[in-house]
Parts: sequence; structure tokens; C-alpha cells
Amino acid sequence: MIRLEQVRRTYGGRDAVAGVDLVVERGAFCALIGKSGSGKSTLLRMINRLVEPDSGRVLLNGDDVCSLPPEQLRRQIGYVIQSVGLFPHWSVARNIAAVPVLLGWQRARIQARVVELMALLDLDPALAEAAPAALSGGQAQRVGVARALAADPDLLLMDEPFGALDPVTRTTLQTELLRIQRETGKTVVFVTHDMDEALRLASQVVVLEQGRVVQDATPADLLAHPANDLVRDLLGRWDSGLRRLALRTVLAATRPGADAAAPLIRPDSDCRAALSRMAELGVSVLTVQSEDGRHLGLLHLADLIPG
Amino acid sequence: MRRLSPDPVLLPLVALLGAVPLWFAVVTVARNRLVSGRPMLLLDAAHGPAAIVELAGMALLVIATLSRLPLLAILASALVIGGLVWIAGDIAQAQVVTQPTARVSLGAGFWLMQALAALSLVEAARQTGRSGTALAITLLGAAAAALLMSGTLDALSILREYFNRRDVLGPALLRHIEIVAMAVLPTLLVGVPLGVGCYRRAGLGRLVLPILSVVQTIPSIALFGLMLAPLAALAAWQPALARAGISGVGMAPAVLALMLYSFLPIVSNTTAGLASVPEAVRDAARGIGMTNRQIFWQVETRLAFPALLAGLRITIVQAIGLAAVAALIGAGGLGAIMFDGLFTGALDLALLGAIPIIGLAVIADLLLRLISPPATPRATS
Repeated sequence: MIRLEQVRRTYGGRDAVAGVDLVVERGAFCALIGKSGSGKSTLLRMINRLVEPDSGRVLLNGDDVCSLPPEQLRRQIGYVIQSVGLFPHWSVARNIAAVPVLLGWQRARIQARVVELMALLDLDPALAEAAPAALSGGQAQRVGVARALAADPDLLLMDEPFGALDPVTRTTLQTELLRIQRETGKTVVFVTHDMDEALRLASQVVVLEQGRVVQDATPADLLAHPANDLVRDLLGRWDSGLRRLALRTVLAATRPGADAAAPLIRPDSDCRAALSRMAELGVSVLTVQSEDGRHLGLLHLADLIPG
Repeated sequence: MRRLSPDPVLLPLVALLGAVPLWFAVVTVARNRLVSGRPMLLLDAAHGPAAIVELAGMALLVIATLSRLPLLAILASALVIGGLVWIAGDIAQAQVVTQPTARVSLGAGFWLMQALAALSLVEAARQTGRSGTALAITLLGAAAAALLMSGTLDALSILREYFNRRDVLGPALLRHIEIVAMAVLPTLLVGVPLGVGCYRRAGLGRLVLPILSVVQTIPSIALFGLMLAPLAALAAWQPALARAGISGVGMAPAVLALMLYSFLPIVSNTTAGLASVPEAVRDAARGIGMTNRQIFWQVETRLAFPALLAGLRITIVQAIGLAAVAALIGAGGLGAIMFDGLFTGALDLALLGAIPIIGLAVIADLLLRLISPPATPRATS
């Protein structure tokens, strides 16, 4: 869907993006991760031509984005930023309707779409006529995501969308974004500096350093084979084992058997949570039982460590 | 019992309002127009229904202050203001009956009390917001109309000056508005695009804004004087211009000087308004695919509008005041009546010019405040 070829961009004599090749497949969830100044935001903004490359090409569905009228291009791509950027003089509904209005949709179709999106993002319908200033941070970013999804774009660009939210709200919104992405099959490119967020959400993690791609891998590969010290640092040298456990569900490590004394755990929990529960309760075996009470087997401490 | 928590702003105003009439004369009474008068205190002079209204106003204002009732404070302040005018009118009538040439002028106590009551009114209106402001304007308008129409005030010196000059006051008022409009409208048409330019091109802003700031520091009389020579020379060089009314004195230099003064608030507020649009909003607007024109008209203009309107308010109020000074170079307007009174020592005549100038400025300020939109859409009801 997206193909970057030797893309380069210089600001004041310094390379912000220094020759990047990258492919993002349709339906992928791609996280661009790196420290500040690594060029991840610049790279993202090149995809909808908010920044134009000095050299190299950015191809979207095979077309060079610089050959398309920028406004038309951007209306087909959802865009979410950390500071949300809701239009303060417009109501929540008018903000969500921004792109459909630009595209000249019929009024009834726009209204129906706004209602649909507010439901999708779990926004109280009573907020439709509220001013953005009246919203909490989490609500505002829900509206920001709804605005980006309004014209049903195939591609969603998100620049640290949850960076300014408190941890609880952030987790809720991450979960909902993942659900929406899975339901709609949209392609997402997501900038973050939070490795947990990247590992949790992404199917493809691209680590950037000084405008170059250091590693482009699935979360599991990244954890198993970090390319260099920077990646190891981002993963956290001491708990990268735990992060690998977090990628695996309990069900995947369950073996048949029964033990009346073993405490319960859900099959959809991750293995890190299971390990934590074992440590907390002082046991080495847990009974895996589904939410509706079905017995699925046992989880042994030894099975948590992949051989 | 609930502890009283009096309004901290109104309390000192009300206390002073109670003290002022003990020391300062509400009116001065003179044998004729040109001699200085004898002071009269409120307590010596007030009687009848006017005094009851005034007393009721003061009592209600005390209650409103102690119990923090801003709407009652508005009503009470309006009663104090209206009642005091009524009292002054009553005193004047009583004097004129015994001595037809007598002149009853408003004294220091009158102005101090009115100023304090007006401050209370403004503060109470501020606390209640738009509805309170509307109520205050209605009450004051109704009181002024009732007092003037009933003839209660006809014997006051300032109204007798008005009756003498009735035929020139109307044209002077129109002339004043004309000078202000001729200065502000073209400035608006040029200044707003210039402000947009200053915002878009930082270089232009660095050039234009300091020049306009320097102009702003030139004293008005000096600027009017500076206009004399070039415009006189222009008129002498092109007689057609002179026939069209351009000369070193009169409207032309006044309007030109007022335009120069008006540029700074309009240009700088336009620039500041645009600069106040959050960068995130601009980024989002571009990112969702608005064209530059759509960003300007749908986002930037709307968000900069309150600042622009504030600039316009400053400009108009400033121009109304400065246009008074322009009477010195023959521009006419209310300033001509004011200076006439000042130069002949007839204070009430000076007031006859000054009060409508203040009234114009206050009305322009209030109107522009009322039409200024709320910064954000209303929350859901």
C-alpha cells in the first residue's frame, strides 16, 4: 500500500530523514518508533505530503504522492495528532463532519455518519453539540480519531495520538483502536516513542535512529533478535524477556491436565500476567479456565519459558 | 444565621457613595451664567419624590452588596444615577422660579457619586454577563428618556445651554460621527489586509508595526499640526483638490491624522488574532485536506475575529476621543462646542460638548462588545 524509496529530507543542513526504504502492506499496523529527533514524525508527514521529500519517492497504491493534488490526497487519508487539533469554534459533530463536508457529501449522509462514528468511538450522543473546550483529554482524542475515520479512509496516519493521555485512558483507547483496525482492516501508520504501545498494537515495528531505519520487523522478531544496542535500549535491557512473554497468550502455552489445587487464569491473558500471578500466589501451576467456566488445561511455569 | 459575605468590589464603592455627599456639593448655584456659584450639599437640597428614589436606590444597593445580588445591584445603581439627576433638576427648578437668570450647575459631588454608581453598575453587569449588560442599558436609557421628556431637567444650566445651542448640537454630533466613520472605515479596509500580510510575512510585520507604534506616540495636537503644511501645499499645487475640500485645516487633516492613529490597533490586532490560532489546529486543518483558502476563511478568520473586533473597538473609541481634539484645526464636531465652552469659561457649555462625546464612546464600546461572538460554541443544553 505504501512504498518509500530512498526518501531523504534535510532541515537546516541536517538530515531529518536520511534515505529510508520502507514498505507497509495493506491492512498492516505499522509503528514508527525512535527517540525524539529520529525523523519518525517527518517520515509520517511525508505520506500525506505535509512534508515533501528532497529526494526519493513516496508511493501510495503505486502513485507518487507528489503527483497528486495535496488536498485531495489528504482527504483520503485519516490524520490524528497528539495535540488533537480540534477546531475550537466548531461543535463536536461539525468537527467529525469536517472531511465529509470538504468532500461535498449530502447533509443526511453526513449526519448518519457522525452518529455512526460517535457510537464506534463510544462517545455520548449528547456531546454532539458540545464545544471541544468542554471535552476531557480522552474524549477530545476520541473525537480526533472519529474525525480521521469520517470519510472511511483506507489509511490512517497517527502521530503519537495517545501520548498526552493518562495511562488508563491510553490503554482504553489503544484497545479500541486495535478493535476498530481489526474490524475495518484499515492500514495504520503510527508514530510513538513508547515501545510497550508499539509492541501491543503493531504488526510491523520500524525503529528509526537519526533518520535511518535501524530495524523493520514483527514484534516477536524484534524481541528475539534486536538489531543493535538502540533497539535493546528501547526494549529495556532487563525486562525484554517479560515483553516477549507479553506477546504470547496463556492458551498457547496450555497443556492438558487437571490440578484441583491450582488457582485459575483466563486463556486470553498473556503469559507475563500469568507469570506475575504465579509469583504473587507462590505457585508454579495454574488452571486455565475460560470465562464461561470451561476447563481448558493447566499452565506450568516451565512452559512459560520458550525452549 | 448565615454569615454575611459582602461583594468585595462593590463594598468600597458603596461606602464611598455614602460618604461623598457629606463633603462634596451636588450642585452649585450662581446668579448668572458667568459668575462662579455657591455649593449646595445633597442633604441640604434634596426633598420630595426624587429624594425618596435616591434613598431607595442607596438602600437597595447596600442590600445587594451585602447579599451579593448583582441584578438588584444593577437596578439599585440605575436608581441612584437617575435619582441624583432628578434631584439636581428639582433644585434647578426651585432656583429658577425665584431668580430667572440663576444658573444651577452640576457639582463635584454629583460627578463623584455618578462615577461611583456607574462603577457599581459596570461591576454588577460584569458579574451577570450579557443579560445584566442589556438590563443596565435598558434601565439607564429609560431613566434618561423619562427625565428629559418630563422637563424635570429643563432648568439645569447644561440644558439651558442645550436649548440655546439646540440647532448646532445635532449637526455637530453628525459631523463628529462623520469624521470617525471617514477615518475608521478606510483604515479597516486597508488595515485588515495589511495585518494579514504582517502575519504571513514576518519581514513586513517587522517593518510596519514599529512605524505604526511610533505614529501612535505622537501627541494628537502635534500630529494635527504636522498635517497642516503638507495638505495646504497639496491644495495650493492642485486647485482641484482644494475645491474638493482638501486643505490644511478642516476635515481633511483631521481624517488623515485619525487614520494614522487607527492603523496600529487594527493592524496589530489582526496580526495578533491570526497568531493566536493554535499551531495544532492549523496542522490538523492542513492534514485533513483543507486548502489554504479554506483554512483562512473557515478557521483562521473565525478564530482571529474576536481579537479583530477588540481592535476595532479600541480604534473607534480612540477615534471618537481624538476627533474632539480635531476641532482645534477646524474640523468641527462636538469638540468645537466643547472648546467653545472651555475658551469662554462656560463650563456647562464645555460639558454640553463633552457629554455626547463620552456617550458616543460608551455606546460604541457597548455595541461592539454585544455583537462580539463567544469564543467557542455554546456547550450542549
